Amino acid sequence: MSSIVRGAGSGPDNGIANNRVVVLFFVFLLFIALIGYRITAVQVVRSGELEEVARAERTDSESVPARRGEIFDARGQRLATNMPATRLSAVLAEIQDKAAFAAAIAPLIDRSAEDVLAALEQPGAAWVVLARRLNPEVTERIRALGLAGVFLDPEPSRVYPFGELASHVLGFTTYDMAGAYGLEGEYDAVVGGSAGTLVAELDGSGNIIGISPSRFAPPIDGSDLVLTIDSAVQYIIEDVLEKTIAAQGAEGGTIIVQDPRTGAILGMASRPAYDPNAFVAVDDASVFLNPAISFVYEPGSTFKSIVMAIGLDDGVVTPDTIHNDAPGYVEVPGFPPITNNNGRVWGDETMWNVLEHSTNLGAIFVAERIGRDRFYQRLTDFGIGMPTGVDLQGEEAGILTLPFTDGWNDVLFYTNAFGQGVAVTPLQLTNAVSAIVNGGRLMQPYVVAQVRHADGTTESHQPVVVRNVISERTSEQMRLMLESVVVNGTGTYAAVAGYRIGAKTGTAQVPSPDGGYIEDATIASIVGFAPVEDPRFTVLVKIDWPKESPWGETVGGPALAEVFARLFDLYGIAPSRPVEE
Amino acid sequence: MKWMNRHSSLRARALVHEPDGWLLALLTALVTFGTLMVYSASFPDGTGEGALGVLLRQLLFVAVGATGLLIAMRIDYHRYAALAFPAMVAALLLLAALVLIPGLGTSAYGAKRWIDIGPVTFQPSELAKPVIVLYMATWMAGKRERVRSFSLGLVQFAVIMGLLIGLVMLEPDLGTSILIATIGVAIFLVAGAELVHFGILAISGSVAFLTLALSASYRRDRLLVFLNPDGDIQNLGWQLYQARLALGSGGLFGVGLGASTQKFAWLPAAHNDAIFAVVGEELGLLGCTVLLGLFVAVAYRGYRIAMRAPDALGALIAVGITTWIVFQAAFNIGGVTLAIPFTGIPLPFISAGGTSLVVAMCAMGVLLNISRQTLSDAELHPVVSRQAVTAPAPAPNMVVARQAPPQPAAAWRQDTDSLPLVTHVAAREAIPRSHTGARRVLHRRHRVERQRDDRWT
Repeated sequence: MSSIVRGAGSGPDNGIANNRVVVLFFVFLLFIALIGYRITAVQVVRSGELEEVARAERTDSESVPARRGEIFDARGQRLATNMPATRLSAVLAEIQDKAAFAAAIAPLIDRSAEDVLAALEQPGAAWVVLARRLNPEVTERIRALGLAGVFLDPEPSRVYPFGELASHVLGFTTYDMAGAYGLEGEYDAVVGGSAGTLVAELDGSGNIIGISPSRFAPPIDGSDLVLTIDSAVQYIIEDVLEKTIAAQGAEGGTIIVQDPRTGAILGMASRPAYDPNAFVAVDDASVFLNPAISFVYEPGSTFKSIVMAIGLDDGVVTPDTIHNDAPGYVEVPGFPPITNNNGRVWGDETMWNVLEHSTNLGAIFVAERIGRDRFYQRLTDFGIGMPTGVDLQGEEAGILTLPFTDGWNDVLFYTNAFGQGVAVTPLQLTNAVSAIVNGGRLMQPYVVAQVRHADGTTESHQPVVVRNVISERTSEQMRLMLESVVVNGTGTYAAVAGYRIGAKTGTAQVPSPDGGYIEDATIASIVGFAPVEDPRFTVLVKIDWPKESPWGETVGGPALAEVFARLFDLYGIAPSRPVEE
Repeated sequence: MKWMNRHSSLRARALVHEPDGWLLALLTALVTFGTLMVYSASFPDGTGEGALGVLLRQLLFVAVGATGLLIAMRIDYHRYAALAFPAMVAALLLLAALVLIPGLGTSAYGAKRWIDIGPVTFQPSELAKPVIVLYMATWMAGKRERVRSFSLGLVQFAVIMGLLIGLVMLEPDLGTSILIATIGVAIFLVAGAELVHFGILAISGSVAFLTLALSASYRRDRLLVFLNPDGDIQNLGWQLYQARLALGSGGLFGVGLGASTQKFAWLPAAHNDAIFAVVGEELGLLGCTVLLGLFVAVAYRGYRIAMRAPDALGALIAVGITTWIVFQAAFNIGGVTLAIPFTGIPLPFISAGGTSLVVAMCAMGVLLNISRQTLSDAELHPVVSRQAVTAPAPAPNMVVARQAPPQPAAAWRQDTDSLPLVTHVAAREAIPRSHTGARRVLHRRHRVERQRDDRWT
């Protein structure tokens, strides 16, 4: 520059204004300085921010789905598995004749042509999904039609090979492979695994830039579940349940089979049920809820077994304690008098008789001997009014109104003694009875026996004793007393020749939402265990609103007997004594 | 060849010396760097030609340009004076044909800038730049004092400029128009324009361009993008937004040569108009500074040649060519960096391009030829020469004439100021060297040019 400046005015007089050349050069320098300022602003001051924006703009991360774990029953049968399937969508602009298109497609996807046509004529839509999770066969037939506008994209699908079987236990997965209800819901994170990610840099047209590094975090596949549920047991109880419901014209029902020694659920069935393969066909979502854990009911007389166990364990009664129920009622000030069933008066009764006859006044006698506060304390110990902690989604706590809490009134203590004014879930009651017969240990019920991780490791469920609720001796006593119910009392329908079975029946009224009870609506139930000498099964049969007979013994008894008989066959359990021909 | 012979005779008399080595080195650096950047920026080229295809084509143009440069370097620039008028007529006709005859021009990006001749297309507006340099330099070198006259200087200048720019604007090509105006005004200024006239020109020119810029909606939008760069990044502001991201991503030292990701279909025209953004991303502030430095150095050498040119013609051509190259670079880089509104003209020597590269390299050849005829420091500073007389040992390369007592500058200035430029120059140069054959040739040429000038002005 110096020589330009020095040259100014002293150059050859070639006719040009040299100083103006210098000016021109400085104008250019000024221009460059302005550019330098702008470049510094962008490359130094805003560099980090702009780099971040650019990176975000071109970085695309794609989720790589993990394989969803399968669910096996105790025998290794696949209860839930995965299959490749196809999603059918239609690109509306490519369809020439919508009516013809709908007519051709509809029968293959189980929809009416009008329905499909209506979907195709949605205003403003560019494309519509017509069907999800199509199996390979249907996919191939649709492909063979060669229709323009048809798009078949692969998608994973969840398949439940046994259909309705154990649907409430299993739950289902949505089209996005998210677990809902049951085990699929409860164990979604375990079964679902965690999706991997593929992070790549895209060019402006959306293609991956070949030279830039892409990062792949592989998915962690979901774990398989091995259940305590035995599909054979499950089949038996669903079969019995359906037959009973059909015979009784009932609204629904539940059967639970639990191993009292561990708390493991061997079978859990409810009606109405649904096919998890076709969960979309269900209109009323409440069907998805598992009645065995999500619905509560008044247990009625089955509850007396718990009350009696508490009385015996506290030593306030012995099996041979005599109670006279004359004059046949108990009066609580401000409430109608409480009587036995049908107002019958039994006179002198041992505690054996109280259970055999299912005497309401006898149960009140035991409860009064226990004392109110002790009574509720011990009920709570049995897990009444709180969730059992079973590993299924949507468990309810039941309703046990404790003294002087909201909703308390004085008569509750008396009605609770025979199972009214208290609400339990079927599983809660089953589990409590298991504790009575297994030596007094309240177990935490469970459904998943083992979790097999994708890396080959396994986790096995160890039975959990929640607490000891009664003594071994009381338990033994209760087993005999409940056996006596089957032999001598209301449970005779539950008898299986050659086997020692204990049970307690119950017939509960259904509380009306308006207060009081619904007329002619009962819940007939029976909870039993067998064999008495070494209980292997606790079974609860609960039938909602039976039409033919309202009673637990007549409705539930035969069902319980059939379940036990078939369980003995299935597990090869020898009779306790020779069967008398 | 005749001109070669003449040159060798000139060389023998030490009147033509080596070209400006610095400028030649700068050019080599720029062209090499440009080729490298074109290869890098066109790497993701999606046109089917591929990066190698773009590179080979670029190398072909570099070869053609280099040949043109080497030839132009050896042709005495005085010879072009005769071409000034026909070249201007030809350029005007080509431009007029391009914009007025339907079907002749090839349209791209909404403008008709290319003429398709067989395998290659070329842009007449690229030719307009050297033509305006040659024409204005020749014309004003001949006019000398009359440059200052209103009717003969300003008005005639404005008419010619208006005609050429008007045709370029019809394509439309605002960037090239502004560049042509800048070149013309620079020559006009250096040729000795009245500052009042220059002021009038600057004001009316600015008004004209502002009117033009606001008249067409797409140019108005471009101005809005400049004023509010983040306003419409999805459409109009897209290219500059992506350029900004590229520059910002580069930071101080860049992501590394070849490692730009913005060039992958994010940044439109990555190897053409927006190549500076790729330079900025790959080489960072450092690379940008070096590139700007190269252009500053070109400006320095170019204007230095102009100031040392042996006559007005050479000086004005040198000013014109230098202004053209460096201001085109500044317009391009300024546009990409949002220092000024973006106009879409290529970055000389760096952007991929056929016509523009070849023409720019040929122009550099002409500038280098002028550099071969510049006067040395000794010639520039007679004072030094006088001191040399008293020095004990005169420098061996000094010609005898320089040792003659110099005439008082004012004296011959007064003598010749009223005469036409050629006579003036001849008178000034005749003192030391009028006896040489080469000078006579030059003088003859100047006279021819002078006569032509009279004829058509």
